[in-house]
Amino acid sequence: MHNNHHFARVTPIVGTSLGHTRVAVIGFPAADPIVYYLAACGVAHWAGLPVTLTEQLRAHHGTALPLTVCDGDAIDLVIAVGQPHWHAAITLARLRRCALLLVEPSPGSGQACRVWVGGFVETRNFVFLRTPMPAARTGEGGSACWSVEPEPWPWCTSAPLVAGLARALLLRGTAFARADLEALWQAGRVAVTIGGAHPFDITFAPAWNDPHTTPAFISPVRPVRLLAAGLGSLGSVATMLLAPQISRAVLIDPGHVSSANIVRQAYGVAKVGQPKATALAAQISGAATLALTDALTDEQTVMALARTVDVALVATGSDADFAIARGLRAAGVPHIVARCYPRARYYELVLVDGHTGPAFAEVRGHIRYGPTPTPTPEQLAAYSPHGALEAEPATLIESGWAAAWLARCAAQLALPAGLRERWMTELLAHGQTCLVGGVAVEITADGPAYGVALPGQIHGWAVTR
Amino acid sequence: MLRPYDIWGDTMTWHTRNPALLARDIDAMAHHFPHWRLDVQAGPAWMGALPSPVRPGPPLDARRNALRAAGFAEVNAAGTIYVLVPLLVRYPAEWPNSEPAVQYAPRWLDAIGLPRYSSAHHLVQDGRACLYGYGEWYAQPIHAMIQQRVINHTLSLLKIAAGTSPHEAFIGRVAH
Repeated sequence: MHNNHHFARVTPIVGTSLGHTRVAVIGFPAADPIVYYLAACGVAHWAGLPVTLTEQLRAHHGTALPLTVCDGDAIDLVIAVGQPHWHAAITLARLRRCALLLVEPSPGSGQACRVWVGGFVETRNFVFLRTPMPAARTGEGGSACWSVEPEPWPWCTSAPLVAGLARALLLRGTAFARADLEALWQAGRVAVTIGGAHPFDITFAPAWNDPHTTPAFISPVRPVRLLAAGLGSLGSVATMLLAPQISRAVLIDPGHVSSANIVRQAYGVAKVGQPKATALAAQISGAATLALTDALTDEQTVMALARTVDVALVATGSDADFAIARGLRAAGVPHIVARCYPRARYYELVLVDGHTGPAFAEVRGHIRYGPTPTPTPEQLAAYSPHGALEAEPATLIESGWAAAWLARCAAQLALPAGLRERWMTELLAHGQTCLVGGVAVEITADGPAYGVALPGQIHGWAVTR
Repeated sequence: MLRPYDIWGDTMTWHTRNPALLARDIDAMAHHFPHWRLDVQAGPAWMGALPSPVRPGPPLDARRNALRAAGFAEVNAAGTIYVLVPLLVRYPAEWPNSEPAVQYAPRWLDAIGLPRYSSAHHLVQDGRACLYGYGEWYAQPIHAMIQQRVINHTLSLLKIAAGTSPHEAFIGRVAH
């Protein structure tokens, strides 16, 4: 790929071929997140990008991503977000005989998130998507890519999956092709619906189903006082997704931004070398921020900090999660402890509603999720005298999906119980406070790994007492 | 998975927060593994030998001779020979939410002719047994973990030492 270190943690997942692919996109600014997710995987040649978006990508990735604007003569994939753009996209795709990804934001409640993966044209495939209504992109500075209006959370949590489908189209026939998606498409299950009656719903069917029309209560947007401990792939991205509604942020991470962080975290290349906490604080405009660059492991300190926040994100990737969660629990602050599994193929969010329901330590290690997937090459590296690797490869499409759900759940938990959406209320009422989602499917001898039988499926697990 | 270093530092140890949990484990270990010893200096950690039945015959006999020469004992009880497998079981910082680290004595592995680390043998980092997949750990008493996972692991290693392939010994659960 273009810059070995910049994309070092991406290349093992997708190889280097994406650096040579050309993608045309129609339907901005709704399509912005798709572009950001694909660019973070190394897609550099684009047709139809607005100048401002191009500048933001350059500010984020620097010269490591040699962006070029192509004219549409040689295109591998056309993506159109919004039905008004479909005709032009289909025409272009037929002319260039390339793959096509059509996204239709579904009208109505915003909870319904519908995807249609269409049929194949000759040897190329068309992908039709229906997703929640995208929002106009807002944000500040070089990392505006991480900011969306808080209203369309369904789109926020769908965009990474949509980008994953687009990436799968670009990687067809390579060593990095998605076998699970390929099997679904070959079986004619090309109509995908994300969300619906429940935001966790996802279906791959031969045809598009009728849209879910039941009106759903949408939580109001309220200012949020946030504590985020651990500002890596999950914490930094989730914080920036919440940024438009943050009134006060306590940001904690003892680490510094490295050049390998850029592709998955909310820091542009200009931030390399800076403490993560201060770098992220500078990107949140219009909010009071407190950046702490020391490790937070003392429960008393956590309790003191927690007095000034409404909700907390905990994603240190270490055992410090337990101490921080204990402090937050003692303070009665709703919090979510998040982690990605190896290569971010799966993620886990443990929701704790303040003093109510099970605490984090009553959940982690107390639920059986089902069979485990094949160890990653990095896990296999642990069977060596050098031991496990510190950082595992993954792409923004995987970890970004986890971060989007982390942010969406945090926005819900920050609200009083009566203002939360029904799906969250039901999860908490049923004790299903451990969410496990999978970007991809791996079928083991004992069934699908972690029970994830479809790409993009999420399960809400409860502790059995 | 173990991390080589952790910039977030250590938190208060679990047994300081919850001494009753340690007391419960001590009682259960005294009942199920009465010859094991608790070393509080090491974290705390349990040290002991797991009697594992073996069937005499080549090529295991040569391995048993090597074990005896290296000072590792075996016992004969009612005609069944048991190899005493030396183990160290370290509690994690967040017990029982995280899995303990179970380590074979590296010298025992050397003497019986098994590698100290190998994906085929489910051994990581200087003889530490890999007992659970990611996210597979389920909170349980320490003695139950030894009974349910460590004994099986030990028997699989002894089968390999007796000539069975790792794939067969670990019933196909081998990642290469």
